[in-house]
Amino acid sequence: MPLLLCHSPKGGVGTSFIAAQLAILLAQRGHEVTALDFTYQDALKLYFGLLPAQRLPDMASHSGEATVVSGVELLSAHELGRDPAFARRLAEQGGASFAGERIYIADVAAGDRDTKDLLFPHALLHICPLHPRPGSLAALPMVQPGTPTIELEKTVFVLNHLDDTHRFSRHSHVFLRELVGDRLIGTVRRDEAVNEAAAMFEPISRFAPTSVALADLARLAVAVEQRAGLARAAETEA
Amino acid sequence: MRTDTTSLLQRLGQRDFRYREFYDAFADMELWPIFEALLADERVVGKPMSLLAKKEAALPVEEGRRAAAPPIVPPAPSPPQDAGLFTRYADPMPAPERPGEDLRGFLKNLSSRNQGG
Repeated sequence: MPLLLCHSPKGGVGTSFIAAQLAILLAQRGHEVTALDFTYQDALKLYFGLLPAQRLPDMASHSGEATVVSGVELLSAHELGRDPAFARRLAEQGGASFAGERIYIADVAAGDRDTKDLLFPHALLHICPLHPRPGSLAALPMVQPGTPTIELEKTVFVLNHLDDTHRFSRHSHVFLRELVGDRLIGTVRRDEAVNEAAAMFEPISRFAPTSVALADLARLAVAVEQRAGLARAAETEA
Repeated sequence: MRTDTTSLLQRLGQRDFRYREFYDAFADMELWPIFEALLADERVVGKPMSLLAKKEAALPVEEGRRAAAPPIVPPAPSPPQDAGLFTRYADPMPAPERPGEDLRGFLKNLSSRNQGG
């Protein structure tokens, strides 16, 4: 089953947040999901309600009990991303590297282009979160160097922190919609409840069940499922 | 007033509140310099088409080429049942079926409007 690669060329746009929420929502929709934290910051777990001091099992040496939260298996993969043997195995196994029924969601830090380039060829979908901010938009040429951004076949975009009360935010939305068309697969509106839920180590669904961000994320999960062909796979299994 | 707003007011036990819908028609959108810079960046939009390529693109589509047409984009996913009150606010904007196809027209429209004042 597929690898969904979450990476943005600009940091601080909510990539870990989007990766975590997609993992939780896809698990709720009946998929087996593993979330892989390839980042040094180790912040993915925060969105699952885990404490900073709690350590995730390492994917490279994982053999014991799994850490499963909200139906998602959580693994740290930071060391694995730097293991030459892992790169060799990926190269040797090609498309079989992520075979099976389980969906893998990889959270890769913006500056870690080596890991992004390592995983990109094996990803079914590359999910690129953006902010409606000049700093994030200015990084659009760097989404996949060597290929014009509008021609990236398996890259889809998510506009996070959208705020319709701000003019540039609205205009960025229109601009991106025109630029990448239906590959802008979702928007997530800015909602302070997201921060507050993370600070409380609680899922948004419990902390703020009426959050606008939660409704947007639910739509995004459906869009990712359809785009990646996961809905068909789920129906077949059923 | 929209029905969902009326419903919210009823639930809150109020008759009115300050309400404003933020929306920009495409025609009201500004060409921010950063948008212009991105639309002129080959790393984003690719290389501009040559005159010959433009002429070829303008030719009527032959039968044989119709078969190679891009797949039909599936309809946008319907919102989840529990999306609630705010679902309507998040209705996605209509997306161009072929991203990039009208990009230069988009830039041209914005440029001409800005030049026009």
